[in-house]
Parts: sequence; structure tokens; C-alpha cells
Amino acid sequence: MLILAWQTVKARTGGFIGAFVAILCGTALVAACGVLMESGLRGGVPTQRYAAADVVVSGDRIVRPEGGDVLAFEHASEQPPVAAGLVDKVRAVPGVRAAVAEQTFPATVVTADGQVLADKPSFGHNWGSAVLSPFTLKSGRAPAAGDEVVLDAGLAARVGDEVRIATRSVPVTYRVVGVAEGAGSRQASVFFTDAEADELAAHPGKVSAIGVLGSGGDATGLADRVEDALAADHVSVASGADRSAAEFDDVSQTKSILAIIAGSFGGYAVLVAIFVVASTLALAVEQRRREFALLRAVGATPRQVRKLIGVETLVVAAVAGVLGSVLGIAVSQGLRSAFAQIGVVPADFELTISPIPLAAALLIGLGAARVAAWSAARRPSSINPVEALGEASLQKRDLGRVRLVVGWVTLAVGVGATAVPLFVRGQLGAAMSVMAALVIIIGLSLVGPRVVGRLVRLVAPGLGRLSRVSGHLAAANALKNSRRMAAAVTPLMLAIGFAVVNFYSQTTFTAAVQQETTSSITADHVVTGVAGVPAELAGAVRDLPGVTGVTPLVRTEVITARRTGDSTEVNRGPAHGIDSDAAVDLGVTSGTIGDLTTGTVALSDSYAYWNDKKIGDTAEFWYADGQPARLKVVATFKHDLAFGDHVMSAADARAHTNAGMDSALLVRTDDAAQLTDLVGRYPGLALTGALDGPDRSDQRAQFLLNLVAVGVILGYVAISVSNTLVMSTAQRRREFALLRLVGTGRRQVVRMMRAEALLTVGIAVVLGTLVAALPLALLALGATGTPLPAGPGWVFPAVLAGAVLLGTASIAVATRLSLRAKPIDTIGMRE
Amino acid sequence: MRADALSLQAVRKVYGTGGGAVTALHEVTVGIGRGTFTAVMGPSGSGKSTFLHCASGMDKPTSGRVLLGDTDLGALKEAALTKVRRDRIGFVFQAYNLLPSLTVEQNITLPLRLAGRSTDRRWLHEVVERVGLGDRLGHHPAELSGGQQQRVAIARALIARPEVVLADEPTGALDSRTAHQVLTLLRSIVDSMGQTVLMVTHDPVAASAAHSVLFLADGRLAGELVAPTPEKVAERMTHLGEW
Repeated sequence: MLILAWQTVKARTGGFIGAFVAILCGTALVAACGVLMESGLRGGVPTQRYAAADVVVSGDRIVRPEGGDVLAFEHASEQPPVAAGLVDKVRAVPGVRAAVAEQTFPATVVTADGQVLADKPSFGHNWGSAVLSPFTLKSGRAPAAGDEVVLDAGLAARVGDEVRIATRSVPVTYRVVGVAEGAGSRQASVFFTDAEADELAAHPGKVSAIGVLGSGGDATGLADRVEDALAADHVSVASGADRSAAEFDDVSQTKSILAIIAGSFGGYAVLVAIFVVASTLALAVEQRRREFALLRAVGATPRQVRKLIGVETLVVAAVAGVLGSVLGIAVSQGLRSAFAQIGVVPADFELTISPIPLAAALLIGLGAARVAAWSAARRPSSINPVEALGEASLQKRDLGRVRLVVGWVTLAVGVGATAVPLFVRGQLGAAMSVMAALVIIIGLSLVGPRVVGRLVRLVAPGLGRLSRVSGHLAAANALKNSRRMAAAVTPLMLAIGFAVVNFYSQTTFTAAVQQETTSSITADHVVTGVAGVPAELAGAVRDLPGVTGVTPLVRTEVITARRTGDSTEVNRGPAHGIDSDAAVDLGVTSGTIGDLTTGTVALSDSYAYWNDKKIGDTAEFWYADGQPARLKVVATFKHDLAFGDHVMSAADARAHTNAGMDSALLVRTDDAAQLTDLVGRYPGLALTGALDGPDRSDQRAQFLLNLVAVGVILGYVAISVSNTLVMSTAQRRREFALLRLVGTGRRQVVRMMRAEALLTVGIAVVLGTLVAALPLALLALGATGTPLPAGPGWVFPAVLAGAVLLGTASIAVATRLSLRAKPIDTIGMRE
Repeated sequence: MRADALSLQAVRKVYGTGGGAVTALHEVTVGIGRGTFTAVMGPSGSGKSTFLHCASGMDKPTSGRVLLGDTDLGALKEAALTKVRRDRIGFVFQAYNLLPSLTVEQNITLPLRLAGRSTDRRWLHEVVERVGLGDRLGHHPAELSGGQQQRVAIARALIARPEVVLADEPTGALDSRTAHQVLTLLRSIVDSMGQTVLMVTHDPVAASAAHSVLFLADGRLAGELVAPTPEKVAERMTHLGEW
């Protein structure tokens, strides 16, 4: 069987190119995702601040609700501090030479004219923690008094200078007593005395992290012992490359993001790969129907035919898979650069490349090919050998009843699901409309030939009238072969619908959030800052003459868990802290915001409804730093796009962020001059008239991320589209030859195919647009109140133009190639 | 009857159901003796193809029995039928007889390969010599003429030493000179090797190469002609057409 398969593959290289390309690209994509995922687990940026520490102990950021499975967890967005008492506990672990407490807090050096000095994140630490890098004094001495600091060499100060440093309030003047040099350049460091640092870090009894210096020997063993000693203390113990996650917030975020994206994206890629490989193989197999019928007639059992197809595919997949996984390295580097460009991963983030994901991708590629071959071989193996006897071209069966029923039901479910965003608001609604579009596409591809046939009947007569020869022939072909046509239309329609829905559902949702944010901020002035707005400013502004309302706004996140049946679903969502609704409009539906004090929370209507909470109940969730919260519900509100599902008191929200500052201060005042004057005393603060939607940069990154991922998948779909078109066109060599022998001009054949191509892409454009239009219109209606989706208008025509170009070019190239040979030779050829 | 290589007993074949049902064969009973060359003729629509499909076990009769030697084909499942086709029946079709990716030798030995049997080199050699392809074993079908391709198909039909060779318009795609050579070859494997051949055709010249001709009309057996000549066959056919 292997010899037979190998002979066939060797002789029919052309027929296998489609499957080869599909498997090659699929494996490359999966391998790239694998590399990204492994980098998410093991890669990163080399540690800088903790380079000299063997082990780093920091707060545990993983929130894992009880009773959930292995995957039911979330990363808290804020690094929680560690109890100071643990320092002694760590010191007592055998093999520990020293345990050093470290404090970390935002500390920015401000120049005389109020400008912020550093061009990178700048943090204050206690001088005691300098040994962890280590930072060594280049000149001067260690700080001894509260107003003395040591700056790192990058901040360009000299011993004896006076500098103003902003931490959480107005800048304070310090004296530079030393300049220190250490490894690393990702962040600027300012060292205070230990006492001053404890004060500024503002979490009494806690420290930001504990650095452990070992007495020589194995760091991993030491980490294990420390972990055992602190097993019950909710900390994470890191050694080796993992230390940087405790150090850099962005690296830790990146790693979890990478792991998540690569996971979902990779899973998606595997599905698309199976789909594409299966459809390409099915087409290739369909073209060899006669060959299989002959095999059956001379005594091959259905199982032997299946095996032949399986082995052929395996031969092709093995070659394509090996090349593809190597190519995957390049793809992962490309994706890393793209992600770095849009700011999802730090520019200096390094990928970890090992053979594991490459081998896994190869196996997955082979597995996908196996599944695809199995599905493609089901029909030909049941071919009746009688077909080999007949001379007439092969009759295809009509669509199966089961397929039609499943198709129509799927279509109906998809159309029904488009209405969900009318009832479910927020990100979930937006995600649902994408899902609905996908379901509609699947349904359409099942009933495709019926729908396409009907559309062709509608359009074809016009085509015949338009052009007497080419148009007439094209119309006749399309009418007779609606199934072949549908096979060409489906992938194009899928690409168009998928791209349009994905893009505009994001932009529409973002627009809806912005719209609600703008309308629910009733302030006429907004104070924002680079690092945040000092909490004390709210009180100061309140005392200004002319001020009629002040609302400090803390943007944070919460993690919620929801049990559905046996599984627990953990989600991270936006939340806000306020201390009055003087300058915001939450759209309160029950209770009052006046009751919102420490220990209470207001919930969105939809969250309260789905989780069955009412006023007086207790809402359970986790704060941004992963600390559990049990708060009493005092109000419900409806503006959840702007405020998220949870609104708590500003004090509670601040207490669970590292910065401990407000994100914005919303002010209503009749005397703007007084406010401007006050804000001017704080460097880095700005006064504006409006507020952007929550987490703009985050959303944007998420959006661009989606775009990159969807773009890559679309590229893959595009390959399969042209694959399908080229193959189904090349198959018609004999038909073209016949046409030319009976007197059709070469150019008339080309024109006929052009007309057919236009008909194909035209139908794909119409269907693809319809598939996208319904879910988007309903999403927009639910989110913004108008049925027109928001977003840049050029993307839609660009997607259509791309699809049209892809479709017509593929068909044109294949037609021209097919017309190369002399018709008299082609017609005599056996199929 | 026991000496027959292949026999059809009261075979009826109905396509479709209800009002649209078409009866392609009406109670056809016929026996093909061992070592004979029989042609089946009839105008188009007479049931020739259905006759061959039923005789080869590719299609199951609606009622009646088809016996290959002592084996009732109607009683077999698809897998067993496939084995029967592979081991006990040889096929020659009108066109597209060969797998383009395999060499002549690989095409000839394909049934053995599918059966998982090793090739008897001496038998292969003999078969190849007989069909006159000794120097072509390494060629691919595309490099052969139409007549040569049909000879490869005949060699393949013989390789498993089948009880009966079924040929469906084996000369339909050939010019008359080449057709004559192929027919002579078919006749010679019957006369010198004792092979049984059943051939369906609509060409009186082809039919006249057989020992006897069975005529089919409207799904019924319409007579037999022993020691046919093209003229006699044509006359009978004309008669059938008027019938």
C-alpha cells in the first residue's frame, strides 16, 4: 500500500500541492503558537532588579476559586504585597544566607520646570534592597536621613544636587547623597532610607517582595524549601527566569497574555487547519473519483481505498509538516515583532525556542491531516465500482437530506443568536455576534449549493444578455454546476463575513463604550495624571470656591467566579471606585450611591440579574490584587459599558491597587481658574474637558491583537480559497479544450471564465455581507441604539476588494495555465 | 448447468420504486459455459449494462440468483463481493482502465497487490508475452497507444487466473485495426488457455469474434447466435431494432 501511495504522490504532484500548502501553513501556524505559548510559560526578559537574588518571594497573583478545575483561574492585574513578618520566616529556612525585604512604589524625579525626568517607568525602593541587583555606589554614600536619596546613574544627577521627587502627592525635595550603578535599563530606580521607603510604600506591615540570597548551591532546591516553608502564606516563589515576572508588571502580564492568546489562537488555528486541509483533500479526492472507482472494480475493498488515501496524505503531510514546523520559528518571530509593535509584549521580550512545540506542531499537523483524510475518504471509499464501467461523466449525488436539515437548523440557530446582543450587553454581547456570524457561515456552507443555485438562477439570465458568447456560456456553466460554484463561493464568503464581523463588532463595541462613558460623565472638568491623581487632591478641590461636585474615579479590575453546572467560570472585568455620584451618572435603578461606603458595592443590572443579587445581599469577588472581597450590595445601575459590573467605594478600590491613586478626578465647577491653579502645583497632572473610555490602551491592544490573529487566520483562509479556485478551474482543462475545438476563441474562454469568476465573487460578496450585516446591525442596535455599526468605513470596501482580487486572480491564473496546452492534445488525454 | 462458469437464474432488476420504477431486466436466465467466448449484444437501453453489472456482482439483482461457479453472489456482503471480484473475475473496460501513476507491470499486478499475494513471476511473464507487452513493463500508461493500454488491461484481467473475464465494450474507443488485434487476443486466450470470456458490445464485428452471441432487447433475452459472422449479427440486430 505504501508503494502504491508513494507512486501516486510522485506521479500526481500537482494534485497534492493544495494539501501540501495547506498542511505546511497550518503546521507553521500551530508551531508558531506553540513557540509563543512556551515563551509565555518559560520565556521573558532577563531579571534585572533581582539578578543577585537566588529566589524572589512575591504576592501570589493567581486567583483560583474553590471547586474549580485546573483551568479555572485568573491573573490578578496588581502585584499584591507580602506580609513583612514573612522575612523572618524565610530567613529561618536552611540554606538562606539573607532575606531582604524590598519596597517598590512609583517615584518620579521632577525637573525644576515641572517636567517628569525619566523616559521609562521610575520606582522608589529602600536602599537595603540594593544588594538584590546589586546596585553599587559609584560615588557618595548610602542614604542615612529621611530626606536623602541615592539615584541610579541613568538619572544623570550628581552627589549634592537637590531633586524634587513625586511619589503619591506633590513633589518633595530630596538631597542626592549617592549615585549607584546596577544592571539593567528597563526602569529607573530611586533609593530612600528603609524607614522613608516603608512610609512612602504606604502598605503598613507589608513589603513589596522578599529577595533571598542563598549560601551557594542549587537555587531550585532553595526555592523548593522556601516554597514549603511559606506554603500557607499565599505567595509565589520564583527562581531563574521566572524572577522577572515578579519584577516587571508588563512581563508578567505578557506571559499570561501570550499563554492565553497562543492557547485560543492555536486551538483556532488547528480547527481552521483541519477544515482547510479536509476541504482541499476532499476536492483532490473528488477529482480522482474515477481512479478510485477503477480500484474498487479491480478488487480494492473500501477499507483499502481509505487506507490508500490515508497513506498518501500521510506521505504529503510528513514532508509538509517537517518544513512547516521549521517555518513556524520564523512565523513566531514575526508574530512577536507584530505584538511588540502594538505594545502587547515588551520590545525586549525574548522567545524561548525549543523542539517541544515544533514536534507538537508536527504531530498536530499529521493528526489534522489524518482527520482530514478520514473525512475526505469516507465518500470515495463507498464509490460504486459501476462508475468505472460507465463512460459518461460522473453523476454527483444530490445533497443529503441530513446535511440539508442540519444546515437549515444551524442557519436558524445562527440567525436567532444574532439577537442576543439586544439582551446581553457588554463584551459578551459583542463576542456573541461574532459567534452568531460563524454559526450562520457554517449553516450556509452546508446548504450552500441550494442558496448559490437560487442566486445564480436570479442573476444568470442577465449575464447571458450582457455578453452573447462568454456571458451565455458562463451562465450555463453556473446554472448546471451550482455545486462546484458553491464550493468556490463558500470559502470566499467565509473570509469576507468573518473579517467584517470581527472588525466591526470590536469597533462598534468600543464606540458604544465611549458613547456611554461620555454621556455618563456629568463633570465639566477632568483631572488626569501620568501615574494617577493623588488621592488627597479630591479633598482639596472640594474646598475650592465655586466647586459644585467632585467625584474621584479609580479604575480597577475585579475577578469574578460563576458556577455553571459542574464547571466554574472565572472572569476578569473592569470595575470602578467612586465616593459620590456628584459628577457621574451611573443610571441608578435601585438603592442610592449615597450608601456606597467602604465595605459596600453597587452592581450593574445585568450582573445582578444573572447572579441573582439584590440590595442587601453580599457580592463575592476578588479585588485587582487578588484579595477576596465580600461586599454588601447597596445599589444597582444600568450604565455598565462605562463603569463595568462593579462600582465600589474609592477607598476600597485604592487600597487594592499598588499606585494607591485615583485614575481621574471629575469636577463640576463655576470657577475654572481656581482649579487650574491648584492642579498646576502637581507635576504630571493635566486638566481636560472629557474622559476617554475605560482602559483605552488596553482595549486598543486587545483590538490590535485580535486584528493580527484574525489577519493571520484570514491569510490562511485566503490560501485555501485560491487553492480551491485554482484546483476547480484546472480540473476543467478538457472542457476548455473542447470549447476551443468547437470554435470558441481563446479569449472568449478567458472572458467566459472571467464572467464566471465575477459571478462567483459577486455571490460571495453578497452572502458574506449579509452574513456580517445582520449580527452587526443587531449588535449596534443593542449597544448604541442605531443599527449602523461604528468604525472606519474603509475597512469594509477594503475587505471586499481583497476578496474580489483574490478570487478573480486565482481563477484567471488557473484558466491561463489550463489554456497553455494545445487543445487537441488535451482533449485526447485521459482524465 | 453445473459446468457453467457463470449463470444467471431468473434475474430481474428494477431501478427506482413506485410509479417511476423501471425494469431493466425481466427474468433473464442464461448460463455461460467454461472455456467459451460469449458476446452480449443489444440496442442501447436493452439492458446490456445492467446484465454485466449483475453478472459481475457490482449490482444486486432485485430477484433471481447469480452463480459464479457454485457461489451465489447475491448472498455475499460487499467485502466478500470485492474479494470475489479481485480473485475470481477479471475486468476489461472501454476506457480509463489503468492507473496513470503506476507502471505497466504495477498495473498488471495490482489485483495481486490488493489481495496481498505475491506475484508468480513465471505466470506474469507468460501473460505479458501472450498480450505482447514484454518490452513495455516499465512504461507508464500515458506512453502507450490505446490498443496497448487495452492489452495491459487484458493482462491485468488474467493475472489472478480468474474463472471468468468480463469485458465491457473493450474495443469501443479503438480504431478498427487495433480493435481487431484486441479481439483476436481475447479469442486466443479462450481458445489456447481455456479462459471464459463474457463481452458486452454493440459492434457486430466485435461480437463476431465470439463463439456465440446472446441478444438482449427490452431487458429480455431475444435469441442466441452460434458461430456468428458480422453480417449475421448485423441482420439480427436490424431485426431487433424493428421488433
